[in-house]
Amino acid sequence: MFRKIAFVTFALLILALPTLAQEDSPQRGNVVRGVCVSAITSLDPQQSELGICDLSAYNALYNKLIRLDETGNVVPEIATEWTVSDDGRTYTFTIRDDVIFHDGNPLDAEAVKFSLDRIRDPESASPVSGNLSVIDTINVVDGTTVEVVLSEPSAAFLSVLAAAPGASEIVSPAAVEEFGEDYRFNGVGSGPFQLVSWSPGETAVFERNPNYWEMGADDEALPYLDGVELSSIEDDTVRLLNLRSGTFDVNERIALTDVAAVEADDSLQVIETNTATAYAIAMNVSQPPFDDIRVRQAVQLALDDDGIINNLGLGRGYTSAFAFPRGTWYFYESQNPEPNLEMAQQLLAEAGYEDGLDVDFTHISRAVDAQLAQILQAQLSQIGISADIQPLERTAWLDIWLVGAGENTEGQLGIFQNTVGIGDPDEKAIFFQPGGIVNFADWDNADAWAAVEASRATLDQDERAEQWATAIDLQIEDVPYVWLGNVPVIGAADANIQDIGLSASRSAWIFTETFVAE
Amino acid sequence: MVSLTPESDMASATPTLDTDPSQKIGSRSATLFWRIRHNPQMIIGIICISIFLIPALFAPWITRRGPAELDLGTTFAEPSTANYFGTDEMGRDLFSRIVYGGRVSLQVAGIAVGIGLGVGLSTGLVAGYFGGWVDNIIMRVMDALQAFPAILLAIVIAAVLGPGLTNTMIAIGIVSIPRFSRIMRGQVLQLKEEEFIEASRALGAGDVRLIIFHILPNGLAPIIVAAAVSSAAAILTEASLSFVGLGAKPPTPSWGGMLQTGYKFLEIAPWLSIYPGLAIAITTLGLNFLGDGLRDVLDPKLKGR
Repeated sequence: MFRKIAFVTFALLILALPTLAQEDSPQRGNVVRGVCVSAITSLDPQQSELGICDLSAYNALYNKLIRLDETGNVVPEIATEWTVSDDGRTYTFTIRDDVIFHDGNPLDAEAVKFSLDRIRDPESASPVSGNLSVIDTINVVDGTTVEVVLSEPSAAFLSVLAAAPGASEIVSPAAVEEFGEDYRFNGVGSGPFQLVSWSPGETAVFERNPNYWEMGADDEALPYLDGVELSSIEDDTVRLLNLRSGTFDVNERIALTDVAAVEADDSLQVIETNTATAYAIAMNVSQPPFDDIRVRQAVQLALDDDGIINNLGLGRGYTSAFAFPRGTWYFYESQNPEPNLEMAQQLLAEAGYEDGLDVDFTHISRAVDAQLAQILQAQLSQIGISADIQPLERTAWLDIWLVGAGENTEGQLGIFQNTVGIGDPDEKAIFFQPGGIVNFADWDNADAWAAVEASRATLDQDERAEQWATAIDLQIEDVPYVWLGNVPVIGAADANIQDIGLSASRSAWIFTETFVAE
Repeated sequence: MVSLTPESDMASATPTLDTDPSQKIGSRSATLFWRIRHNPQMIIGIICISIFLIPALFAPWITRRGPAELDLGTTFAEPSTANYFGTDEMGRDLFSRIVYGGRVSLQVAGIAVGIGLGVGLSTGLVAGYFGGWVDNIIMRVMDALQAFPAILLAIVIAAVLGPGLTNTMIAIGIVSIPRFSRIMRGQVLQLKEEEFIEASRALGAGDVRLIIFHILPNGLAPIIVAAAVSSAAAILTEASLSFVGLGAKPPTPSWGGMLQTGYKFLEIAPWLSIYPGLAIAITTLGLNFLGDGLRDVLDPKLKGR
């Protein structure tokens, strides 16, 4: 009898063990190794090319004033609360008093003003300065209160501040002073992880910030992880193989053709992001042959958006003539004109290219871009445009296209991807901004830019969406870009990694509450 | 079974196909032909090469669709009677791409080996014939070229010149120069001492006449062998260059390029890697067999060495 009871107790214990182990209370320790498509370009969020590993590094290193949660609402981070004046122009933020930078200095109102002013400073030529162009002055009221005065009321201000990549990370003024030009190699913030080592092209290593202010579920300071490492591999297949072999734990994105295989693999999990990739081409309007609108229209009319997006997205994508995500309040159901080869040929002939023309296609050498380039090459060859495809390294491509007005003399037709998140539509204003460096096509349309600015000036969502629709229609008409459509981004990770946060606008990783379930 | 009738004597006097006619009386070409037919390596080599290169010659007549023709609706179709080798990620017919890719390989092999042969032969002849400082300079340059691993040198040259088929051919050609140059020089050094050269010289033949009409034709056999083997290397190098993105540009179909995109879809569409891989493997194997066979045929003394 006694032996029976002992046996039953023992058996129950055995049965209970796995359930105890499976309980997902966060466990401390471990290092998570993430792998992105593009390498980290800078640890200075205000001077960056803003790839996913860049942004993930900023999420690790820095805090923002406010951020967007996963449903798109603005929530506190460093700012605990904020008030808006009646005229909608003055925002007063109260910030936490218990946050210190990795270098030991306190994060105070001065540091907030310093960081935002640094982005706005014309001399710093920050690529994200456009996001904050609506700010007129920033005043430090006291150590924990900052007042931001806008030049006009802006509906987008809070959500842009919260979500626009690189637009509101608070950097340590002392570190910026100390490192000067080299600050981009030595990012110092107040985030959950601090920098151990990074140099361009190498793995960035971060360790747990022991003085982090946010508390975890176990009432101890976050983060749970001991550290984070970020690397990059451009090739989708190689990246996935490395995830499978255990060299990395989290993979920014997998090819859509591999999704089924990853789903079937018990040791891996698929990460559905709220982000999509928009595929687009930019035609350099400041140089022949694309300074002639008829040539651009011909290109637009020769492309079969449906076929292309079906091919790239394997049925998961949707066509749209601008990089807005479906389901948001500002999504504008717009399509490029139906393909019409005859009309396209006629336009080319009118522009003086009845015998066809040669065009350089520049794309970043990635699998999907290369595929898109070849599809475009085939479709454009039907109207007599013959393409010389030039695959380039990411930085080489950006050297050509990421330049100010009139400075792109080399690129003719550029193929690019743009990440589409659920942030504010104003993040895409950079494609309309005359002279803006992300405005690859060098497009300058006063009416379209006026519409974008008008959308900033109103607080009414419907009216904002309407202004955006106007701007998009003008872009479709003027054809500096041809946006083909959006394809969802799908990532993957080891099955035992839990609670990987994804930032709202770009699905960059937030490892603050991530842990590894053993 | 041996009978002593006159008929059987007459039969044994006639050479049968089982003995080498060169030991009897016969023309030079008949001899060569006989040796080819009795060299299994050579036969296998020719068959292997023909598998992909004969269709390449007749590409427009045996393919249904162009190699760059997209069909975005039927991507990753399995091999079937409609698409013999299946379709790729853009719905292009892989059979057509392989067949047309054979033309690219053929072209690369021909032109690259042509460059190597042209420069290699002339430098080798000059170096070997004149000797002295001319020989020294030329051979040190060849040493320098050979000091780099061939594929690395080709990558460097192609990267400097930029991707594209023409530049690929130039790169591969340059890489193959030292091989021809060295072989030719060796031949010249050996032939220079032969009595028939001395005789010609004594009869008043000048340097140019000696080189072109006496030394070159007699030294060609190993060069022909080297050319066959080099063609194999050229096809392989082109595939390697295309694989790292320095070879033929799209839409030119290249076996290496197909392999490069194909391996990304290894799990869902293995045929995109298998067929280009087979094409490269079989053709280069065939060329190597052909080279070995040619060596035996052209110089029976070397057989088995």
